[in-house]
Amino acid sequence: MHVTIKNSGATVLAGIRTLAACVFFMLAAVECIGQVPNVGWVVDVKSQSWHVNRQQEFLTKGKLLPAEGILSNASPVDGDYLVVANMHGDIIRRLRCSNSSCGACVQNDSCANPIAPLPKAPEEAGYLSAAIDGIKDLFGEHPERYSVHRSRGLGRSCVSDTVVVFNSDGGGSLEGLLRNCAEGTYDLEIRAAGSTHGGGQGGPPREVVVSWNPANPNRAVPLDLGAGLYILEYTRDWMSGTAWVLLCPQSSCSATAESFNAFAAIVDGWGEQVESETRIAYKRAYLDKLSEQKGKE
Amino acid sequence: MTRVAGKPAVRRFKARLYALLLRLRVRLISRRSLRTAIAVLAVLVLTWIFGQTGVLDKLDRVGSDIQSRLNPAPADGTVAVVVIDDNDYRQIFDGGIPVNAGRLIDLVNDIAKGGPSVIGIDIDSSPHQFAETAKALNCNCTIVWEREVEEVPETVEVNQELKLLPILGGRSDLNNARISSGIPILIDDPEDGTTRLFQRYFGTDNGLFPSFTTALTSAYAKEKNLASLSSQVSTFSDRELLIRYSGDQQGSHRIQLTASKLHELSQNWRPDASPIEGRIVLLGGAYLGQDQHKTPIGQISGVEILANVIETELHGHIATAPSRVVLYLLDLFEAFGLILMFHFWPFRTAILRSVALIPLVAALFSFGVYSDVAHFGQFLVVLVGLLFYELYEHFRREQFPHLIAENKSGLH
Repeated sequence: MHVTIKNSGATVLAGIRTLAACVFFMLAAVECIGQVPNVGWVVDVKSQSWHVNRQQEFLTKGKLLPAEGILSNASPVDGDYLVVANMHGDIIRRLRCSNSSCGACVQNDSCANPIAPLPKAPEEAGYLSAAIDGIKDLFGEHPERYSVHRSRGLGRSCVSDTVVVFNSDGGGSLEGLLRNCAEGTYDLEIRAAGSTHGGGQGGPPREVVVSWNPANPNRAVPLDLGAGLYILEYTRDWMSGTAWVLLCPQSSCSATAESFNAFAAIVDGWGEQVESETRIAYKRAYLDKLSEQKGKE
Repeated sequence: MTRVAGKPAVRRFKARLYALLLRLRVRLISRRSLRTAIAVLAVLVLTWIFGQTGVLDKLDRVGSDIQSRLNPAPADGTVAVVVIDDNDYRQIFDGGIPVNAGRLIDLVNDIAKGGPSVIGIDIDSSPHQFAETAKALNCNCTIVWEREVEEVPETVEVNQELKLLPILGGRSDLNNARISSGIPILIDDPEDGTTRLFQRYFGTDNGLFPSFTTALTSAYAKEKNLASLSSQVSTFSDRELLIRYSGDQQGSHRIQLTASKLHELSQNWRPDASPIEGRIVLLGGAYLGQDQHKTPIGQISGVEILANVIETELHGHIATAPSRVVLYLLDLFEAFGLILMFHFWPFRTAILRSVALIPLVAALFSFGVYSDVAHFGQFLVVLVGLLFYELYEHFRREQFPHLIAENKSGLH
């Protein structure tokens, strides 16, 4: 057999290019192969003859189990069992054996159902879908604007998103904001929320100390801020929280306040069926909409 | 003699110098040089405008986010998470955690039954109620508490002097060797509020103090005798580091239990027979919609971000966030490289070579700056844009004389 090696520059260059391309793609792909993610763990087990994927090592309590793993018992004895939970601790497999064979239990039946493999791991994002998401991020709107960020307070936040009407002296009642709060002194930090359509959060925040008494909720608090949408952050002892507040003058605000209160009543009426952060997000989005309308007026 | 002999030599030298200067002048003001100078100037201006308007930063963020969505999840499951959700908060901690500090300690003791290596608690323990209840802690493991600071700054600087609040209500008579703490500050991108970066140490009034995740990883390295991990996390960097997010928004790759589920399951655990044996367990809150953060993989709780940071440290492949100056210089460098190719090589050769080289250069830069190849899109955009510019210029130069000639003949 004859082997001819063409030692031309072009061949060598092509070889180097191919090698470089291979190294490049291997570097990119090396992390993606060879690891099977876990999808569950052994909650309880009886007998030392349970295995996953016919491996020699027998299953013990707490052992993590791979995706699509096949559970089996090499030498079943009557009464052998295996209970498997998923990564969130929910039971996903109950297996029980008789002297001859093992089966999966569906509720309290005879446990003779065939043993299905463990679930697949959740699919990881593909290159295409990740790229599309990236492009969406580049050009899309961001509804996360209305969600709750950076609030690492301990206790339950007592402030509510609301419309505050201010009078000619620049003072306003904070009843809507603090109605769920206990009596006491609250440090409020109020900053302009800016606009969804390009405006930033400009200017230093205004700090206001409020002595809140639920028995006298309509007492006007000097705010000295212009009309617009604001993000308010409060702290009191170990409590903290944020709320969005739309400030508007008495002369043109009653319809806006009524509209928001009606909307808030509908959203609050959803109760526990809807998560609290979703309800908050709806109210904030509506406040933003009202603020935009007031701006156009 | 020397002077007489030297005169013609000086004249020759002067003549050569004049000739050289003349050639240089002709070259410098030649059409080709002028075109190059204009192109270079345009590149400088365009790159500067892109840099100033944040276009490059935005592309950088998109590249980084795509990479985060593609990262494969670690299969070893070293980090487990226990979350206090809305139901747990209502049923176990109604009225707030400080007034129910004893229940939090019970929860930590439940986790301890599973024999974890380290427990990290992302809940403020500075209120005085913790001082009394802390003595009930029963864990043969290291416990790391998050340590709040008096005022969270808007921006994080190394030379800041953050004022630390005490842990466990100021109690200091517990086993210090097995109890430590760290600052849990997360760094949000000021442009879009997304959490992409973390820091290992913060400047405090007591000098440099570890972040919560650094304290946790360090404790884990000590428990497991992992010298390289220990040395890695003890390395101070004044640059922010990129969190290597992995897996999905639900954190499906790691054990994640609610507090009530953990309590139920832990009654059946032994230290040598539990799914959290030898692992790092993070306990944190995700109730009332608080502590939710925007990340490249979606909206997740603060404790899940901390889990991602620890997994980043365990992965060992940590990229620093490049400065804007570095990105700007790299963009400039690649732009000049491309222009020079078209300057020195014939058009077709330059096209073929640039098409072959552009992805490679973009990938190399990505690897050099971020230690991965996934950010090459950011560099690719500038290069492809310049390539189109060169193609347009070539077309214009080729076609313009013909068009003029055609117009002239049409007029006559």
